[in-house]
Amino acid sequence: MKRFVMSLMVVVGALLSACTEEPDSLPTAGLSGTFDVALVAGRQLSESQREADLLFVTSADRNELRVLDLTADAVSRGYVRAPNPLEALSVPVLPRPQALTRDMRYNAEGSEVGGSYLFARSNGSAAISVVASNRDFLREVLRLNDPSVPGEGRQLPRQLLLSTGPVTAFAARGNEDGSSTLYYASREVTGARLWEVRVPAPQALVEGTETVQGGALVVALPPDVVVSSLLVLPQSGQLALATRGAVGTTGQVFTLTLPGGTLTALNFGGSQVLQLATHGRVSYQLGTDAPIQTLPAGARIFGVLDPASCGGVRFPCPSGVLAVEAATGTVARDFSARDPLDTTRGLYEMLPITAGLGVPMGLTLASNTELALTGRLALVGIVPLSNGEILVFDALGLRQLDVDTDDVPSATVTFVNPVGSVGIAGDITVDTAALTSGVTTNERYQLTYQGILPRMSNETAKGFVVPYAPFPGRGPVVQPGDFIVLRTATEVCATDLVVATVQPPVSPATQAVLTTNTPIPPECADFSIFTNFLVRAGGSQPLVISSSTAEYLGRVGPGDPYTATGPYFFHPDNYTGATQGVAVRFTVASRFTEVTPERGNAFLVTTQSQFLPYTLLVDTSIPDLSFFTLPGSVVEAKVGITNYAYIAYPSADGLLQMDLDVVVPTVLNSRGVFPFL
Amino acid sequence: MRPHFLSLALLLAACTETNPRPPPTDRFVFPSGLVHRVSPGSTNGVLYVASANFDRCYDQGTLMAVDLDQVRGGEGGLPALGAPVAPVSTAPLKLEQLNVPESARVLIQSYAGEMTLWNRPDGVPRLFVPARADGDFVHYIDVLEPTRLACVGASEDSRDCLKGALSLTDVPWRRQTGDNEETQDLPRAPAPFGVDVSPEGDVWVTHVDPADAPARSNANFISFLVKLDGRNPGISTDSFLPLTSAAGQAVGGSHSVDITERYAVVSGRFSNRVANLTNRRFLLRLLDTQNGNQMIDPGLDLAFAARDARGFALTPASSTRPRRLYLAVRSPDSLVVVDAQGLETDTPSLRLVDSVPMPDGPTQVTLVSRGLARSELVVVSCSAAGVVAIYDPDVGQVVAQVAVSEVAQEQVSQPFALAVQQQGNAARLFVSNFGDGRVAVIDIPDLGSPQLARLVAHLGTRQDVQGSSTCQEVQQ
Repeated sequence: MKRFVMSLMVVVGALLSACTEEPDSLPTAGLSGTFDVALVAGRQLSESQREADLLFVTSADRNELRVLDLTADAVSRGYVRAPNPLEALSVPVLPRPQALTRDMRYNAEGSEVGGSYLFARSNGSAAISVVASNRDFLREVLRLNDPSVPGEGRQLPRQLLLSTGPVTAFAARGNEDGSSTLYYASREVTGARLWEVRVPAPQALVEGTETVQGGALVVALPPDVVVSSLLVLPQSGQLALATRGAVGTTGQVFTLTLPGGTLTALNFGGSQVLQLATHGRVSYQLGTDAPIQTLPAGARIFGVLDPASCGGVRFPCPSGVLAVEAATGTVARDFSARDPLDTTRGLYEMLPITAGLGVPMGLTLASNTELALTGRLALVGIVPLSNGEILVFDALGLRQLDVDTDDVPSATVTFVNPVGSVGIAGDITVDTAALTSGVTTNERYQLTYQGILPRMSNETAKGFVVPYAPFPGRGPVVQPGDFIVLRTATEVCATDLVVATVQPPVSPATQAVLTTNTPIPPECADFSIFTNFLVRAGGSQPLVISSSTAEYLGRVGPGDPYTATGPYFFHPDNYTGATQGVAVRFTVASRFTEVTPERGNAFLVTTQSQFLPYTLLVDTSIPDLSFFTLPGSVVEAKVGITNYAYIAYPSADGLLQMDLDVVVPTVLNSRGVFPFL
Repeated sequence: MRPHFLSLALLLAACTETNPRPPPTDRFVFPSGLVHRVSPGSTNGVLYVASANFDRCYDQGTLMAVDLDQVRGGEGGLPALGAPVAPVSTAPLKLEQLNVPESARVLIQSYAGEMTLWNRPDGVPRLFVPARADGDFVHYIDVLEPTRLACVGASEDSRDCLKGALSLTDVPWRRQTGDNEETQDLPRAPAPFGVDVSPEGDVWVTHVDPADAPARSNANFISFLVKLDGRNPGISTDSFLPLTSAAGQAVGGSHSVDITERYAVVSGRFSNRVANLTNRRFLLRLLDTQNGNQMIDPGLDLAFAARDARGFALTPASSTRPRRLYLAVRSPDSLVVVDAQGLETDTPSLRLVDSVPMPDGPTQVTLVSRGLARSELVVVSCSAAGVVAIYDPDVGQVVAQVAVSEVAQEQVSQPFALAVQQQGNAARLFVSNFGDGRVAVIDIPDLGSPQLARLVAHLGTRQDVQGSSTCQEVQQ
């Protein structure tokens, strides 16, 4: 059944792609440097009428913003026009705007309510552009910390000089009276500082009837850090902030309560966080007949983990998205196994959510979202990845959406020699029952017959000295019976020297000395020619095990079992809380009967996780989409009844509209995507 | 990403005199490669500047050794390194008098690229400069004294280093009859650009244009990393090491090269002449110098889907912090942060860990050391934006964007090469402004506060002043 579903999915995806023409893009706005997007909610004009939302995008290389008008009519959806309607409106701002934030608040029901302003900053700059973001203005009305702004007036931005160091993070809270409170962090010569600026409502600001007021917040930040992310929380007077420090240290995440300036630590599993996000109130059911539950606004704080730094030389660092419970500051528990006493609670801490080799380029959370294949979900996370994929996950259950419905990992064995490859079953036997869902990865284990031992491929032939235990904790590698092969830069000696003994090093030395009883053939005896040697596995364990991610895993011989364990990368249904499981287990036959391996031939044990995360791909073979290879930040917008993701693509100098109900995971999509350049 | 260089060439290519057109002796012309060298007895050291002569207004390019103690302008010379910098609004010093004697100038081929210096243990220092105009040469230039240059392979009194230079395309084995068409005219390396030298004197050269076979056929493209003997100029087919080793690997040009303990690390450039049949892109590759020059593609393009790469810098190996490679890429304009492990082993690992948005046209990358307590600053020239961006890994962001020209038009200056002078807790950056013909000088008076970086001076005379021709020598 599972294969059928998968096949159906691929076929549907292929058909959908094949049946669509290339997207017709609207006239371009000439974007260049589309690094960030921000969604500004349209105003509620009456009980039944609401303005369309506006999507702001940076055009960093042109020192401006452009505004996409998210009209319900998809045909007329496009950039807000300039006074000359032949042109798209340009909103000039500070030089090279690279990051945006908008002001917003949460109403009594816990829903997000849009504000009056959009804020833009540039990395390395102290300035912040304040743009009045509703349709009556759509222009910069205030520039912070930029003495070069020429002047003030109804059509020129006003000024306020507070700080001089580069702004490193910002966030804003909208107020009911249309004013806004901007919070930002700067890196001054004296260290990180937090600032608060109250910006009057746009009309009052422009007319000069109210003034901008701001100053430094008194907050005892840890020493020698910068603030890398700020987030306005639904709870009144609360912010979240992430810090990072000098090399060898790990930044922290805190909630900040104002006006007291109290910091409360949140623990993202000890990781440093790059970006913070939270959600409004979410209603959900955990089954068709289950009662409707509520996740309060801001109950969870999500963080994009920093894969570049987690303290000192500890590496690799976790990558992906992790959530903490705002109330406790601990890592949130996923819904892989629920507490029998309270089924709304998970039992086990979630795992960082990521996919593939890419790193997260953005994060947005969307409630009540219709997705292809899965249907409507109460809360999803959307994470553009640097490898071009868009990862969607269940942000309520805090787990990946596995679109591969088969839960049981599998494995195959092939034998490879210069003639080709052939599937085998008897010479290497995999214990498939031992493979663990959530632990077994898509991996290829290679067992090379008489393979070259690690770190012994090019040793200098001044005595046969080799690393004794090349990998800490894995013991000695070389054994009696192995082969010493003398070599030049281009050829090897035809006669192997068999290792007779291995003389272990005496601490603190780390090199072993090999002896051999094999006479060195005269044609290879000149060590000025045969300057180097390598060592191949022989004796009772002639098979060297490596994988696509590990240079050396071990060595085995006839009759030997091999087991690799590993951590969970995904919590399957009914996960029981173990931290490790069997990734692969196989046994080498006591005698090869199916094939006769020769030096360099290999057995390949290929494992399949049967896990397929919900990733969206763009068909870049379509000419209009060819540059949509690398996504940046993302927002989700509901236009009418349709859920769209709007994704900035700096690789294309454009925006991509993605209809989440139409785009199919894991296939190349040309339907349901539309470029705005 | 944007063809500014080509545009400039087309706009300015109206110089057609046939009389000898020696290059100017008192200014730079499309400065490209830079090397800064500390010189005993000198306060500011010596800056070696290659002029690319990109509009071909002159017969050749030049290499000048500029004694930084001797440069002068109306307000004197260079300010003391480490002195407090003036506010941003203060105009940079115009140090137009370079005062370069004849012995400190040599002629090279046009279109010079990067430049590197070999501090020979057994001889005078030697500069290597590839240039991609006619002949595709690599120049060897000895630094007899800090400001006395000599062309290797030319007669003692010759100032024309083209005479001893090595061509990477006009090679003896070209057009040999009976060659297989797929390998005819190979190996060769059109448009040599990047260069690095190992402590032992192996010179490694990249080339921007992949080589076709036969030449000008637009077929059978391949690119090479060229390995030359830095002591004795010479070239053979063995000097050319292929940068592709497997079917399906993207073929493209190459930009920069860095020699590590074991591997030559090479960044790749997109070439629209080559039709790659897969979606793979050549961003970064490693050539194992200890294992038969085996080529390894770490698959960085699978983790970061950029179109092509430019310059990069690799931090030194350390037991106290992860080793990082910072790579400038285009489309999107970004600085890619790569964790580099096992560069001394058979199985090096290069893993993407971060990316940072950059101003338009990130091109060259260099590092400024800050000791053990802080990460190196990463300096990136952004050609199209006309700025130098300073990324602080401890902040995780660009902390300063310094415009390298006082002129509003960002695309005029086109910052390219970077050189660093360090003194105590301060650093000075030299930036070749390819577009306006000057070298910008940026001071960071306190490496703990790199946001204080300021443009303090320009060396040389602007070549882009409206109404003047770059083809006229400016006498001072």
